[in-house]
Amino acid sequence: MIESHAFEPDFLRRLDRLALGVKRARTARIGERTLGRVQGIGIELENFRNYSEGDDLRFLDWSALARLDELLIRTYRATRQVEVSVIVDASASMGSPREDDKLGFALLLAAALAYLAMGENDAVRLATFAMSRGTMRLTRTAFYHRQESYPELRPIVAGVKSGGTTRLGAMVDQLLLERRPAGLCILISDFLTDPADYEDALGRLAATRHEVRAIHVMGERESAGAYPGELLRVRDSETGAVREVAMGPDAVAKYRHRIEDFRTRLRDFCARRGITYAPAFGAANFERVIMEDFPRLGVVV
Amino acid sequence: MGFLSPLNLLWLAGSLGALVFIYLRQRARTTIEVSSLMLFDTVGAPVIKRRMLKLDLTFWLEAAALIALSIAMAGLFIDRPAPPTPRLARALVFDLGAAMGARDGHGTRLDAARSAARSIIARSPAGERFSIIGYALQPVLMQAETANRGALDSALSRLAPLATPARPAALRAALMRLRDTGGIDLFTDRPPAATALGDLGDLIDPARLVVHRVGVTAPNLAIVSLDPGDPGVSQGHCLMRNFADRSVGATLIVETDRGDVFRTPLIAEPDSEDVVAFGPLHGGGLVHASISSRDDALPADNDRWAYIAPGDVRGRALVLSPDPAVRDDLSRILVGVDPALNVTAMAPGSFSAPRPGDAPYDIAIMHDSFIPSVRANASLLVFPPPPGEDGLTVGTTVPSAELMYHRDQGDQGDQGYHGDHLDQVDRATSTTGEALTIDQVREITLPPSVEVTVRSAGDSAAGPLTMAAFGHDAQGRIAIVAFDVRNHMLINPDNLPALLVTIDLLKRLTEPADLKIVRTGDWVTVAASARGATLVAPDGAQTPLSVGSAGVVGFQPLEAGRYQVRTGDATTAVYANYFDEDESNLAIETTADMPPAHPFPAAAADAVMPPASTISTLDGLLVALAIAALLAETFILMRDALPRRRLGHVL
Repeated sequence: MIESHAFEPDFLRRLDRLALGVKRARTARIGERTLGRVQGIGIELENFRNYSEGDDLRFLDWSALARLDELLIRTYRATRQVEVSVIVDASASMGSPREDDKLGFALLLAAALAYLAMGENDAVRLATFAMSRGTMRLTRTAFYHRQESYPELRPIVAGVKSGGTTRLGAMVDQLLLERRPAGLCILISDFLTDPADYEDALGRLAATRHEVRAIHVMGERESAGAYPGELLRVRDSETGAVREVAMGPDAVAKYRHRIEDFRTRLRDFCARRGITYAPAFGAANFERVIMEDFPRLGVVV
Repeated sequence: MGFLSPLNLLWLAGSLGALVFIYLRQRARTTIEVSSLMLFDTVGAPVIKRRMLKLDLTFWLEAAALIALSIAMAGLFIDRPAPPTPRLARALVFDLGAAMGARDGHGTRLDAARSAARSIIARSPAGERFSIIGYALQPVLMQAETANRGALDSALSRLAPLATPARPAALRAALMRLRDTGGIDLFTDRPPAATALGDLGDLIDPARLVVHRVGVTAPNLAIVSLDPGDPGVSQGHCLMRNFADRSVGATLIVETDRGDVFRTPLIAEPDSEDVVAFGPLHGGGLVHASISSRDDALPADNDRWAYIAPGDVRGRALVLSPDPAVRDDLSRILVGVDPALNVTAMAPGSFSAPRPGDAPYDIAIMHDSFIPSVRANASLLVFPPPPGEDGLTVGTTVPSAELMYHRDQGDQGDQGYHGDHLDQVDRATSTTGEALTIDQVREITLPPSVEVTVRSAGDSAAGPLTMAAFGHDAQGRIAIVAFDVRNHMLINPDNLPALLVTIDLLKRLTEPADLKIVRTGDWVTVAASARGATLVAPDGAQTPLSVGSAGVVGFQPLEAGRYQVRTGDATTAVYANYFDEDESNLAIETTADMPPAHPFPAAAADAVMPPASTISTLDGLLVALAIAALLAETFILMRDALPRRRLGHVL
């Protein structure tokens, strides 16, 4: 179970060198000015600048005026109030192929990103979802702000089992019903659903001003098409549908091409909607994905 | 080619079925669970025909291994011609009964059998071994197993018909001896008796026995018996039998050694018996009857000899008994056997010792008495008293004993009942028994020179009692009757067997010392000197005879005619008569289960004697093939496994 690495001290120490990448930091109160990533009202002094008309005189440094007879305005490091929701697809497709351990890989990534978010005192929660018997099961933790609360995520990371079908739209429906402030929404899934489904889901998240990260998880075997034998009877893990295939060399090439098409379509959609798309193929590569790929793609900094 | 255990082929079907099942199961699609079928949208489905027909090389190798092992279990074998040397020999068995000497064509029936045998030998592969056995009274090995064609031809040439019937027991003994041979060819002119083949089935495969019938129906005129009559008193009679189904003309010639010759032309009716009277003879002596006919196929039964004591030479006989009635009975019987005897009868106490120079009696009969001073050329001791004399030991008197007298169905009435005859008949199979309980029998121990001719049938503490015996002592011939003959026992019609035994002994005592008339096949003994004797057969062949412990030589005449036994200066003539009702009948009956007599079934032997072959199982070869197939499969699998491992590392 690869998700167990999420709570290893060495792994966490390596994560301490990273920070969760957030493009937009928003103030807690609606309508206030956005100061950028590190500027705003707060209690931590950031810098000084010359006074200009319109500045709030509350931030005038009166001591400097008295000593230097210059009007200086104090700037403070803004206090971010970004709600980070790391949502993991726990449908049956995440459990197949079993050898790939896609769900464990997804949970490991989710825990790592949550850990990074906690390092910035962001409000972080972890959620899993799957459609089971017509009902969307969206399991969520509470929002945690500090890394001391990171172990609270262990039960959900260790206890999630794959099952059900992937219905991203239904998940987003339920998520939006919470009417939470827009924040960072990291969706980790294999996106093996109708493209219309994930396009609808991702589009609506982005439309509600969420900053969305789409982390596309696939297994090694799944992505390579390395199935045992040539003549196979394959069963869809979510629908149970069965189909007989002949996985000859040509068929494997077509299979890989199909995956590439699928991935390209997802990536292109994300690009069009300003959604960060980050592929994470192969659980065995989790170190490389977190330490190299994610920083390169801006998922972490 | 065939299978030793065909049922084991079921393993073949089962194992092949299991292999196909395993193969199809292995070839069946492996159901695996995948995340989504949408990834396989562009992957084509397999073609069904390709799946069914794609039997790879490993499948065929495994199938070949299973087939080879299963066939090995079933015991596949091939027939191969056996090498000539270890092949079982074939036996050629010849009926040498008198009928095989019948001339019914260009040669005798034995000639036809010989020709057939030579044909079989000529058609056989070189190196095949044969043995040759002839049988009549008993089986005789003429040639041991050999592949030497010259020796076989010589043995066939030595075969000669005998003047005896072919006994079923002899054939049975021959077949028993040949039960381990590869095949038996029996040459005979008549179907083997059921008694000869009855229970041989367990020992001899009937398919290995081929009966070759030879001969065709031929006429035969035979002399059944010859009664010389009473010289100068009554006519003699000759009983003749015509076995042909048509009338046969012939001339009966009766002649004596004293010059009497009688010729009687006759026409014998079909399948009838005729009594031809002749004489009366002017004098006794040796009487010879013969048939002269151009329409007679078997000469062995055309001659017959008989002896009647000459009436012009009166012999002297002495009868001693304490019982007057016994003296009277024995005297009457003695005169009946030899009318030319002057009989003197008296009580033992009245006998006075002979004076020197007195001629000995020709025969002396002593009942319940023994006087050593009685000098006679022949003696008959009846119910001799203990303790006996001259090696004869007389013991206690047994209250009763059972005399078992055998009468041969093919009786020769002109010869009477000889002791040897009875002894032979006692061993014969075609006899009937007649038991007679006799009171007062004395236990007698005989000297070596005297042989038992009749024994009691009942058991006693000392075993069967000696009832009658015949032999030689210092004075000449001696005979012994162990039972008492008082109270007119001998002339009582109810005691006929006892009278016949007595007459038999008296005939042997009164017959000339240098003349014997016997039946072919009888065992003949002749007193001989210690230097041995020489037997001269009717065809002139001479054979040395060794003297036995009883001072006699013995032989078995197997040809009809005159034999001579020469010992020292003496010569004894032995005339052997032959007649057998069954053997002399030369009619050939073709039964449903027998092949026709002629032509000779040349292909029969080949038909029932298939070429010898050896069965060679192919177990070793088949197992080797199976191992080779499995090794080849192992090699292929190992060769294919290497690239896969490399691919696995890459993935």
